[in-house]
Amino acid sequence: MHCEVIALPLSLDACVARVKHTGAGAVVVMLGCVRDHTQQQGQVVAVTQLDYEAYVEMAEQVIDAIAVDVEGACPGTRVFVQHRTGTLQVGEWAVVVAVSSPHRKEAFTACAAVIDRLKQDAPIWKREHGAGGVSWVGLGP
Amino acid sequence: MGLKAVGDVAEEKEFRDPGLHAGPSLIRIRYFAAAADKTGCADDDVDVGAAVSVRELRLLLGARHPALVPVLVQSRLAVNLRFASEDEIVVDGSEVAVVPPVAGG
Repeated sequence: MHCEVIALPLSLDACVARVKHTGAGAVVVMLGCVRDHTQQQGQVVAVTQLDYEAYVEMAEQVIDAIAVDVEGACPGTRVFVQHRTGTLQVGEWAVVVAVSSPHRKEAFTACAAVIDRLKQDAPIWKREHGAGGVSWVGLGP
Repeated sequence: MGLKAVGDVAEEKEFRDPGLHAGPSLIRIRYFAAAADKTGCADDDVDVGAAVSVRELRLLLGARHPALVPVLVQSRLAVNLRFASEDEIVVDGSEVAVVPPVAGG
């Protein structure tokens, strides 16, 4: 399994350890952090916390499939992802994507591909608490 | 008319067979995020009587939870941990999840 969807604080070290090896000349890490603001109807509004909910069994399966696919498309890369669930405060990490490869270019490319696809297909949701009230991100009217 | 291998035909028949037999077909429905807010529950066991398509199941869920409809129309359905097409047949014992627009990361 190339990922963990967990209710505990994420570990940068654990993620790097999963991909680091002696043949890797680069490790690229993307940290997704809880931001203190968001856009609602074109307005910038303050955010105080986020609640993350996941369909854990499926999210792990979907992210694992993405990681395997990206490793195949970017030869030499190794991918590991941790995603958080539960209530997060501003500044906390919601996701860690770690990718190693012999050369940096493939690691940057793979890391961007993994986070883009995760955001598109992993069954994970977030609810914003802030000046604009409480709402599920991405849900239309 | 295209040629078809015997194996293909047999497989297709087996795939469609459940729909031909009326009888209990228990499906576990799971609701997440906005969908759970609308139904007031995290899951539901639904006896659909016979195998149904994802499209038919959508209608059934909307009728069961009218408040869910505005979220349901924006949602993908997943069958046994995979996103499903509207034509996919949901067989007895499946787990179906209502997946509102996702926002991970």
